[in-house]
Amino acid sequence: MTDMMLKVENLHARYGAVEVLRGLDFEVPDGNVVVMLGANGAGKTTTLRALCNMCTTSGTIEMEGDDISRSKTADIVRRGVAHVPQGRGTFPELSVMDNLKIGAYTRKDKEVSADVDRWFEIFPRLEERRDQLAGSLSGGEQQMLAVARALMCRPRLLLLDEPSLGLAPLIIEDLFERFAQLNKETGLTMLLVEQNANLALDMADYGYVIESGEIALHGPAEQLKNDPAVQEAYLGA
Amino acid sequence: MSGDDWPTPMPRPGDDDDAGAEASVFAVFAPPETEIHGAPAGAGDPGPEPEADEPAATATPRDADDPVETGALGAQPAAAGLSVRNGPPVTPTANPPVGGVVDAGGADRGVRHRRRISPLRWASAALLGVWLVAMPLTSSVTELRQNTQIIVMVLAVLGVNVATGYGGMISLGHGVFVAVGAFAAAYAVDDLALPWAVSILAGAAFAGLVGALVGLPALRIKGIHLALVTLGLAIVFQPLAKRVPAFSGGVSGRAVGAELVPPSWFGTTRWAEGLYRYLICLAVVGLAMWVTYNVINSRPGRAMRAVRDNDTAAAVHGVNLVASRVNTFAVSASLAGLAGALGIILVPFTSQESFPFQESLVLYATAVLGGLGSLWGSVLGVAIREVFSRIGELLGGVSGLGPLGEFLRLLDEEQFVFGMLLVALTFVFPRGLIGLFNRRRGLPVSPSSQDRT
Repeated sequence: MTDMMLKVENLHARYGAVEVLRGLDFEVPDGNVVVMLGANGAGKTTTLRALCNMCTTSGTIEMEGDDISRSKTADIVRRGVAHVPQGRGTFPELSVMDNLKIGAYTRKDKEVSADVDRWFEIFPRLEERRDQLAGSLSGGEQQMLAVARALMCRPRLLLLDEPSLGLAPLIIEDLFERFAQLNKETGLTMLLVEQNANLALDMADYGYVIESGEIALHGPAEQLKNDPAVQEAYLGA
Repeated sequence: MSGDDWPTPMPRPGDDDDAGAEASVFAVFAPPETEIHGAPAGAGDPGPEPEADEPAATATPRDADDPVETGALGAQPAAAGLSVRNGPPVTPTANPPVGGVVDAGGADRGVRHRRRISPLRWASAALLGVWLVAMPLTSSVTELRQNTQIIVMVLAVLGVNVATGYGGMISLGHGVFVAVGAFAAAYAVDDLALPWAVSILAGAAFAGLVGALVGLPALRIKGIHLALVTLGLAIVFQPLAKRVPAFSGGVSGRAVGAELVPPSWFGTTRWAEGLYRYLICLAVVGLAMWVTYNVINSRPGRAMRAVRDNDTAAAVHGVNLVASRVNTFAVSASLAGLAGALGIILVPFTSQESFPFQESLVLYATAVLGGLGSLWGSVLGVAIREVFSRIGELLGGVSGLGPLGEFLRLLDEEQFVFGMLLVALTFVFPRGLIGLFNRRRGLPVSPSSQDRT
């Protein structure tokens, strides 16, 4: 049990009358990168929202053995789940600095500004623009900001919702390299939702394919990469 | 990982305490491969552009496809990582000179980010200061009272600004809170015989409470629909107030019996009385603005603005959307209520008749005119409206100019001037007049939060 960061069973989610997730089962082992592939509208984003209790759900979501399916979002964040929402979700009219401080919203300790300084060292671009409005940053910089902001809550599980969306190929590669190394060096567990299957599967340990709210296929990343169905649908082979 | 002197994003059980692990985390972000995107670490350092990066870079959003930038993103972490590994990471400036990049950045950080106050700001501040001193000395008793009322109105506009500009919730009903504040303060000072200071605070607090209730619809609806709901409340208010005479004085309104009089040493003339009330109102307005400034820059205030910009993203970081929106509405309504409460010091009479729903629309328009999301924008909005209406009055008084005179007489109408002001200034300053002062932050206006859900 201890080596399972996240264990999800029979997860259903709905928006009003529309059922988006229809009984998902998946696991995210501690220290792993797990990728979720799927077409538009398959329910990838909803899965991440469901994990943070941001939509109506049923089923069990266990984090390190504790059921968190009824926990408040703020408590889930306190447990160490950080979410980089789709489309980066930076706060365009807040300064870079204020964006980072929102990342530490649930923290009460006095080391927040020390952490800000650390991430500034790692993302120096952000420090140069600390007083600038986030909306004036480039797409790549905003994605950096969204990641740094998520890391501000000192997470143990990072949920990434299509981080490659709308970014230039070179920036995407750079970004994924950072994710991979962040995972390799610190053991930060990641659940990655992507349409860019190639890069995602290269980095991931394990993958799930979602189709209309259900798991259609899953297996080790290597295996998925060589699966003819996946190749045809997601890798353009 | 010993201690918390660097952001260990994941304090995992079983992590051992060796310094090697510490260094390697930074090495993560300084992989040799990242350099392939740009020049080698040293040369690719975008550090020596601190000057250029001031206003110019701010105004032009960078192009994500710019290959130069890719190099910068990849290369600089390498430099930063190297410098950190040379010593215990305490503060950037504490690094040995090897990390010259980081040192340079750290050393002039203070200088780079200090804002220079533009001449325009100096001039406006000076003008306002002179007016605040000269106005009471040169005004008649009536003028002094009218001008004080205008100063007090800044708070009501500021209330709209907090809800709409900082909270992203359009309110077309803030006149209701002004009225509620006035009625509650009158009730407190007369019926409950409370002291003035307490009564005014009670007026603001009660309006805040009503605001929190009225804010509840804002939990479910956004944008134009919330605007309609608040407008509906403003329309409903008048007939409602007529039916509760004990509170509002009913159809005819209520006279305020208690009078705020200065201590005898201050003077007993009516002008001295007016001056005393002016000073009190000015002090309260100033204090309220200062408090609002601090609220907006506090942790809940930051959350308020984050919810405005992107509520989903705010929620995933643990911001409670319900609490944040209700708080925002309460703060905003209590500012409007404070304006109403101060109003009954100046004119000892209040009635639902003074608060038709059009007043609420004017408050909203004034907030937008001045600039949403800026405290001074609200001051500016009230000021510009007043200045133009007086210029109009002057021009309208000119006689004997034939057809031109006919047109000028139109300017005598406050409504005409304010309406034209809205039409004209919305084109020139879409972010409000404050845009004139904040050129460098030029971004498209987004008073309401994006509907992403």
